[in-house]
Amino acid sequence: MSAAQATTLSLYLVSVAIGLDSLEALAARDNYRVGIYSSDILAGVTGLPAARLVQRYPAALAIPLMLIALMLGAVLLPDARPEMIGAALIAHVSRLRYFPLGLAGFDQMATIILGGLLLADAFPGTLVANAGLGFVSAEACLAYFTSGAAKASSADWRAGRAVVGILNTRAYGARLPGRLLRAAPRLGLLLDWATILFETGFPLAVLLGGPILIVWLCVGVLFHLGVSATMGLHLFVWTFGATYPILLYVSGHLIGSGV
Amino acid sequence: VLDYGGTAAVVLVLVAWLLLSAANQFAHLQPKIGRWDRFALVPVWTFFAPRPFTRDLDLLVRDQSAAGDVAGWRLLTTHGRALRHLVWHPSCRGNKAIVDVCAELLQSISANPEHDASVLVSYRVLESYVRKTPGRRDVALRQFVIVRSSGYSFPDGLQVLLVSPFFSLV
Repeated sequence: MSAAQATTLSLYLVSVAIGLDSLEALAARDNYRVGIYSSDILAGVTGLPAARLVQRYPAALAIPLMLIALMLGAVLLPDARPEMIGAALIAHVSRLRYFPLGLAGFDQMATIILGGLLLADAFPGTLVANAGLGFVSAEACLAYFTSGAAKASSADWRAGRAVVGILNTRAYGARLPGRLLRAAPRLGLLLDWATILFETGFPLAVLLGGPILIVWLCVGVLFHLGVSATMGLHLFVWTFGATYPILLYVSGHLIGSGV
Repeated sequence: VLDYGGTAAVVLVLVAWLLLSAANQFAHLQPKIGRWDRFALVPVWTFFAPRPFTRDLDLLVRDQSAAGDVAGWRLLTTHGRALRHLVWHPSCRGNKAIVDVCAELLQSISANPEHDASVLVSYRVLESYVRKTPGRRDVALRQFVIVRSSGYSFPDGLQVLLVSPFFSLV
């Protein structure tokens, strides 16, 4: 996979993530009108003079609207891509700044991907472009490895109590899989250890590259789809999936394993 | 094309960002880094570990009319899974925001139990949100409560963690 192919594919995937997230923000606009984001205190917390203006409904909907337009622009207007990605990056981090509640790992991964894509698109074929893509890859490896190592350090995860416990909550669970895992504790143990091994082994798979990396990324897609179906965390599929083309490029061309 | 200095500056920034990201995975460094990270640039990647999220936190409110009638508790957190959440889950972020603020409030109270909780930012954010939540037309006073429950066995094993006093909506 070439750098251009990797950045284009990654851009499409992260655009879906940011576009979906923004559409969901518009669909749940009551969050800004009378919901948790409408708090008068929030403006005081974020402190900036612009906060009171940006956070006031319906002005609060401007950022998701801008993000949808900019991501569409980045996908549809290749000549203006760096400008669109740069503007989207500013809009995205502004949203995280002005509405700092309920943030998740996919928000930060989206920031990282937009930053890497901006460098790769603005300075193609240079050291800066490779540094940007290498940075995204390194953050993805750090994300998976840290998550796996933190789980390996946890008695709950090692004993097979974590996935069954999470899937039996109403916030991150689902009634049927939760009940199934309660009835089959060995399956819970297997899922906990499979998660630990998949996540901690991720950087090694990137270093080894080739078919091993392809297998690992396929497992990653299934993992995120499973998390999405059972835990409702669907945006991870798109944001973490957007790192995969970049990982294939970096593993194949920069680390030299020839994918 | 960037010159040598520009390239070096970009690489330096990315290396610093990556090193800060690595440092931020250690819980004792997170408050120090978080204090400077106004744009949420430095991630925490530990996802459901080391302590997995195995019990629900819920926010409930109830209203009291001017005549003194007290209504039943209403759940403000919305949970539940549907197949459409694979591609469309608009309530996810708002709900996580409420749960995160509740968790932060409980953590602050636990760290400083002798302090007045009502002056905490997280308490004020919750109170401000609860105050704006639509309710019955004749509501005069409102109260909220944070409870922990054992997921799908709700309301069995319900644990009341914080009860606000009734406050005026006038």
